[in-house]
Amino acid sequence: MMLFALLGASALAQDTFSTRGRAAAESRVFVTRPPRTAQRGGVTGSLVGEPDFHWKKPKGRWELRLTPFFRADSHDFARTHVDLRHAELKLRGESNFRFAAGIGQFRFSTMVGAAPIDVINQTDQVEDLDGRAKLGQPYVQVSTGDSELQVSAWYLPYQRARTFPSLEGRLRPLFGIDAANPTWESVLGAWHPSGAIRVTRDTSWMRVAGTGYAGISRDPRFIAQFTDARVGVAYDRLHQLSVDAAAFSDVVTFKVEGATSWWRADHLFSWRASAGLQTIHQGLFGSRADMLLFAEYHVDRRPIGTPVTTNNNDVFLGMRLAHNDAQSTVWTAGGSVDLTTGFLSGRLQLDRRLRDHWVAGVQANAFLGSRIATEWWLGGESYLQGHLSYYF
Amino acid sequence: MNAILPLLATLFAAPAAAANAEGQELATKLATANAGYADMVANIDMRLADAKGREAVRVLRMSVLEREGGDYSLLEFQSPADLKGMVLLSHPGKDTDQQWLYLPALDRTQRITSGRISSSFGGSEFAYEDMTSISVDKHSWTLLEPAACGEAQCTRLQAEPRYEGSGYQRRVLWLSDDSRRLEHVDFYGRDGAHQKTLTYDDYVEVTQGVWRARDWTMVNHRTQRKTVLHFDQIALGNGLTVAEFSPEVLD
Repeated sequence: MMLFALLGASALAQDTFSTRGRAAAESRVFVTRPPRTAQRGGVTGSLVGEPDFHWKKPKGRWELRLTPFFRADSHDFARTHVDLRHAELKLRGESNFRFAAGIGQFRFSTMVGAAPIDVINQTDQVEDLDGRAKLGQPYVQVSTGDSELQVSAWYLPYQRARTFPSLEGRLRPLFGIDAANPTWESVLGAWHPSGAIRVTRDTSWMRVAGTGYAGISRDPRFIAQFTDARVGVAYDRLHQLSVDAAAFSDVVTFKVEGATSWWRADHLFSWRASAGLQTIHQGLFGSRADMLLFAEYHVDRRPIGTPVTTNNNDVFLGMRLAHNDAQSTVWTAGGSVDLTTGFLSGRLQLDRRLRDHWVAGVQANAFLGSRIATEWWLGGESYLQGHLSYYF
Repeated sequence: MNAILPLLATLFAAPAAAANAEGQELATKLATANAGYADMVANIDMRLADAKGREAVRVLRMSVLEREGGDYSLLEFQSPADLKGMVLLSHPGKDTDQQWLYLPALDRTQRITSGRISSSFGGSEFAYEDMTSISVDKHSWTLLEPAACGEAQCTRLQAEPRYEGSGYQRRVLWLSDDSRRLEHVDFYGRDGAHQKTLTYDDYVEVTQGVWRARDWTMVNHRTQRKTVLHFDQIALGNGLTVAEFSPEVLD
């Protein structure tokens, strides 16, 4: 019995603290010269660090997480930035009641080509145009429920402003963006409190959720400035209701999401919806590789006076090919076409583990389209990107 | 408790006859014999070897909670470093299992649909469906003719999955009449061909009367690839709770 007790104690003790994360060197190679005179660099380099510290009490009663992030960029001082992705405490009681507070990240959308219902975290736009990188959001959350029905409520005391490339940076519109001096519709500015409530129902074959949000929009509205060549950004008040659902069958997952929004004090109304499916094909051509295929349609209707969107009438097609080998080799590819303007954006990416701690990856990003598209300014900004990452 | 963790099961002598009822009875007996451990935690060394013998190593941490209707399990990668924190949570159900995969790189939890359960788990020769308990209720059990297994005689119990998405037509469990333990399991693919064999070695008595195999070797006869799991620091009765096996704790 003594041996058993010792084994048990040593095994459980390992859960109290853990560290993981990555440090990476990244480079972007743009296929054309900078289209704007102020912009610098056909080849840019970055150093990235994102350690992730976890403290967990045995039996999961509480958990502390701290995840700082930094990037140092050779050409764009706005891309050189520090953030706290997570700095949070989570408590779990004997019942199904949970409490969490600090800085964290919350994603609701299961779409791949866009995330139409995500509303809590601000986008870290200098990281990537795809909008997946998010800034840490200060929050207090209470939740209850079990694996079939969950209810969560958030109090969000502070609003983060979106990051944008500087005038010297690439992947920015014709006019630079004055991100440092935003305008707030609320007199409380960034401290205007926001809140959200989400109810999720899970079964073995489907998941459906509804989310209500009231507060400040994470999407900025761009406004011309008379005193500055750059455009300013304004964050308006927003009320939003959204529904998202997914149905899981044998090899196909069906997904639908929709949201209605009321912007500003004069209640401009907008709506958006997405529908998609993903399928999996195992043992591709007799190999051990698996392929996931995605197809999605996104529509977003907004009146003048609300933030612009690039997903107003888009079809997205994507693929993820996992070799299931010892090196975890994965190919991903995705492309989006605006059915109204014909603007096309696409990405092809390969990632592979080199050794136990080292992973390398390359990606090619292409933007093609006419000047009638909202994102026409990306037309000359196609680029290649590579990374060498050390995971610990 | 109506589940068998095949690598962990102990066996009592079984009559050698060919009948579904007897197969069902033996499967239930196996599940009952495996019951009462409450929960288990263990460290796992996973060694992946290709046909040329080149090896890659993964380290995982496993937690299992005994549950009526199927044991909940959590498998968390500790290495390689880029997979560290990846967690597979399994909730066996009456008709179908639910599995969730937390991917730290995306900070997202994905549902493993039934169409994906026969995919490779972590690049190994184990599939997602191998990483959850074999529920008695979700299989048709048949007692096959006994056969020699090495120098001993083995009782053979066939399990045909009755759930969607399985990559197997059937599994055959070989149970030693001498040691009264599970010796190995033959996996037959959807085409009926003998696809994989899982062998259990190095049984240890974790606590009085509770035996666990510490080495599981899965050989893929089609690719000649091999995955060896070595269990270490096995501990039972750690006071784990259902809350620690909730999908919400993954994020």
